[in-house]
Formats: sequence, structure tokens, C-alpha cells
Amino acid sequence: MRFRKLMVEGAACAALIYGLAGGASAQPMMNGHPDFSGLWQCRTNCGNGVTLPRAQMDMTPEGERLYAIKKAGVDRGDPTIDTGLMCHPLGIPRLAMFGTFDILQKDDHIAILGEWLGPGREIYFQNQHRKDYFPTFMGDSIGRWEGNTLVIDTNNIEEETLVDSSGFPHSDQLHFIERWTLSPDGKTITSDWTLTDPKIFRAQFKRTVTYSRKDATDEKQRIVENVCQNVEVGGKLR
Amino acid sequence: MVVRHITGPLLLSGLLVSSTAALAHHSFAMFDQTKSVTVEGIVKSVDYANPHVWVDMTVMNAQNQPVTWSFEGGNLGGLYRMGWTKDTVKAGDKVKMEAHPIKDGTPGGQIMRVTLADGRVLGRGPGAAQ
Repeated sequence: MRFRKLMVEGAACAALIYGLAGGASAQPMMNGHPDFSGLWQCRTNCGNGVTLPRAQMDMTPEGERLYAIKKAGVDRGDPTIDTGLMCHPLGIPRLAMFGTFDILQKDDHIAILGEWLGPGREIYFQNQHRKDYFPTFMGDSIGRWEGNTLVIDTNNIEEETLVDSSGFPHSDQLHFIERWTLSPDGKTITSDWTLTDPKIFRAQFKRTVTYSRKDATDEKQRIVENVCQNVEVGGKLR
Repeated sequence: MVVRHITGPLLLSGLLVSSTAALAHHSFAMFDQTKSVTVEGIVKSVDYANPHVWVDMTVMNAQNQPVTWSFEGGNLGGLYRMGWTKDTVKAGDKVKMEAHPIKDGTPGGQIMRVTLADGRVLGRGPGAAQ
């Protein structure tokens, strides 16, 4: 009787340890943290149709002035305002809400190969941004772990980019935070965004974007090259 | 090979234009998303390129004159995943094209769907409006 009780308790204990070790979960891990590696599709709050809610955007006078200019340019398809129209990358954060991504996680950084009109993105696990770095379309991203949450901090984003496809501008003060968590089944990344830009917006704003895991064994799901080619410059095909 | 159905003011202005070069700009602002046009014709050329595919078609107008219509679709990745391949639509094919017309009446539009000669119907794939 006592032996049987020990057996039952032992089995329960083993099951608990197995569960804590992640063996009962499909969530992939690397060095004690979730492993986000894999092929992903932007799934929630994705694409050009998703814009910031105008009524909720509390802008500074400078923000309102710039927004009027940018929105008018977007509405008339002006490539000097909506520079994606002349094949410039849409930049961050817009490129974090488009299409397919191949995420490669390593010990010291994460690399993201996006499909959509943009350069790759690298996020090093470090505490400081690059010193005296240039403004770039994808900005300068660093990452840190808060438990199982990956916090990605991006600044230094090229000012010509827009925050969304309706024309919201940003300044050199745009600060973009993504908090990534991986679902227990390993199939979904939830990315909680916080954006601040004191020159343009009076308050921070938030958005949640999700990514779904794609089947990388399916050739059609993989990255398809997207080099911007057939664009008109000065009335002629480039 | 005739214009089958056009809504809105495109009817006259579109048919009066005899030809046009392929439109290259890929802003979707130039298309009227509230209207649709359907034409049948012969594919003149296909530019399988990013950011968006362009399909030029020869469509006969009411005077039985050939008119080149230019249609913009989505990006290659989106098309590929929707079933398009490099041979899905090619020069010489007879197709039916349904599209959002160009606002200024230039013959062409943003692809909504393409019906191939074998009856297959394909969407435009995602693009700027993804």
C-alpha cells in the first residue's frame, strides 16, 4: 500500500518536472528563453488597410501641421511624401506589419528577413543603442528579456517614413517598443506595441500585432523576393 | 474581346482613348475603389515584377479598334501563394479582367479578379492594399 502511494506520488512529481521543463509544451526554447525562430505571417492588425485611429490621436501643433501635409500627399499618391511609391522602404514600424518574416534567433541577436520592400532587421541583445548612429529606415533596435517576454527597443528611424499608411508623421524622437511573447503552443507571436514621439504626439499610443507560424516545408509559404522595380520616376519607368 | 460591362463615367472616356503605355506608378490612389469594370481581351504583355504585377491587354472598343488596357495587381509573393505562376497569364492568352477603373478614364485598373480561358479565376494578390 505504502509502495503504491510512493509510486503515484513519484509519477505525479515526474509529470510536474516534465511540465516545468517544457516537455509538455510545444513552445520552443533557446538558452532558457522562447525561441522565436521560424517562418511567420503577420496576422492581426496587418497591412495598409490598418491605420491609426485619427480621432484618438492627440497631436501637438507641429504634429497636426505635418499630418495635414503628409495625408494630403498620401491621398494624391505623391511619391515625394509617400516615399514607398518610389521604392523607398516603408521603414519601422510599418514594415513590422506586412507579410511574411523569417526570424532567425541566435545567442546574441535576432535577425528578421522580411519580404516586403525592406532591408533586414537585426536586434542585438544589449542595453545601449549604437552611439552616434545614422537615422535609418529600420531604425536601431536592441533587445532584452523580461522573463519570457522579448522587449525590442527601436529608435533613430528615418524621418521621411510614415507611421501608418494614412500619413501620420513622426520625428527624430520616435521611440518604438515591441513586447513579444510566444504562445504555449509555439504557433503565435503576440507583439504589444508602444509608440511615443513627444514632438508629434501628446500621448503614447498602443497597438497589438500578432504573427502566425507558417509551414516552412511548403515552398509557397517561404519568402518571395520583393525588389521594387516597376516604378515611375520623372514620368519614365526606372 | 469586347467591353462587357462598365459602371460609371468610364464608359465613354475609356473607349475614346486609343492606346496607352503601361502605367508604372503603384499608388492605388488612382483607382476608383467604388466602381468596377470588366473587359475581355488578349494579353499583350505581363510584367511579373514587384512591387506589383502589371498586365497589358488588347481590348476591342465599340468601333472595333484595338485599345490597350493596363491592369495592376499585387506583389509576386502574394500572387504565388494565390496560385499564380510565371505561366498563369502570358502574352497571347484570352482572359476576362475585372478591375477597379482608373479615375481619370485611362483604360486600365486595379485587378480584382482574372478569369482564364480554362475557367480558373484568380485574385490579384496582396499589394499596397494588403
